Amino acid sequence: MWSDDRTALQTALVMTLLLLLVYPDKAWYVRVPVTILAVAALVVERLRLSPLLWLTGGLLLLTAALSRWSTTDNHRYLMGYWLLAIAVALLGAEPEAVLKRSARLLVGLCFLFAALWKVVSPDYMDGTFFHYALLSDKRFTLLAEWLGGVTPRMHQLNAAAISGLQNYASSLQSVRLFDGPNTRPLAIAITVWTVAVEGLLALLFLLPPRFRITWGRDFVILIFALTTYAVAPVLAFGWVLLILGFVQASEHRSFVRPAYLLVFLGLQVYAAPWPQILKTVMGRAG
Amino acid sequence: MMARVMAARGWIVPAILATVAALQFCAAQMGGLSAWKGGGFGMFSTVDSPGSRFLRVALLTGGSRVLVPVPRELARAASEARTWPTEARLAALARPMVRGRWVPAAIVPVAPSPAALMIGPFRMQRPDEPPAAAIDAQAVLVELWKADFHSAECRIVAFPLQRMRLERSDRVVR
Repeated sequence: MWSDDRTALQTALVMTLLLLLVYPDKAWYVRVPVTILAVAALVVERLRLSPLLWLTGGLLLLTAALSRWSTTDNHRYLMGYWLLAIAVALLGAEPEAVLKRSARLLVGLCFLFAALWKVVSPDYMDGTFFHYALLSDKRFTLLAEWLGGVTPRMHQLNAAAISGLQNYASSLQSVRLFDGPNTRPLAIAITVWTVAVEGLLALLFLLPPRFRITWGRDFVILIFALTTYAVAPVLAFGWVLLILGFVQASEHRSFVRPAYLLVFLGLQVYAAPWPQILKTVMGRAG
Repeated sequence: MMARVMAARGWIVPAILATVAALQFCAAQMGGLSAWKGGGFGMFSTVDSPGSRFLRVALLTGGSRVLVPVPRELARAASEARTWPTEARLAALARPMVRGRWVPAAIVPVAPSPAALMIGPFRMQRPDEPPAAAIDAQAVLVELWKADFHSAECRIVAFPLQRMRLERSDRVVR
């Protein structure tokens, strides 16, 4: 069904509209107009091929991202760029081919800069960052508790220690955190895996498709999405990457685009409150 | 020319992404911008996120220092100062705080004694509130602290990254 690039383009546009509706901007003055545009384009097929609609959406997202630059996460910029890329592609002939190139390059450049940042950060490459994240970042709680040996009580005490350090009336300059028995080796494993896979994705997506090695990029990015967003549930970013991956996929391999769609849908499973669910289930079993 | 641009338009938006990300990289490496923000892709690459930076603000009143929280109305200025600390951003945070009316957060008598007035915690009155007895702040000291994590000891060690002392007269004391 998606071996035809034209059909795939329509599907990708629908996926993008769903992205805008499921992960809207926090600011109402962006959320409301973007929602109107997205719903209109979902309902009226002709609007989906309007460059002006996508340009408007992209500019709204990027303006909001820039106006809140100190708090905006990087995937909001990527969403804005993607909408602009759609607008630019729809301006002229062969929009499918143009969008495939944009999608491939956007993915490649994201991972290039992500890998670069990790390589140049001394506190990343030695495992320090992930050691700290496992002990202090709520997004990694389940991973730290299941594989790192950090208990919920340790997490509570660590949060209290950090809060005490950062309190406005505090005179503390240092606090000690509680550590699990396996946290440091786990941190190093995640560190190595992440920088390796991001570097590999940068290479596979930035190399032109004529290089045979790039045929593996769809497999690698799907594995990346399935593993990364189980741990760091920034699902909007996952969806953007999967839409870009879907668009740039080769029409000659008929199983690839359905695989992207499957993961696109399946990623929502990660949105469930698994820490609470598992604690409830295990509590009842115990 | 136009035909060439149209044929190559698949490169335009990726070029914009690359330009912004490169500028962010330079600003972070050389100008103190946090790697996590600003249009780059440095999230999850370093302990030094805006969340691990924090502010300590003290009002200087004659002989004493009074630690005060950043008012909610200045949350955005505080966020920007934490994410990309520059003299201008620290001043944007310090100026309203040194000019504000700081009153005890707890209920106090109508005419509290000078000693009672200095019992914290303190809050900055909103402009629409009727003026209450306030402490006499002559200057404000704003410090941005950064946290490093020492993995071997499992210890967070914080140190001041930037500080600014701003007097009520708007003079910056270095």
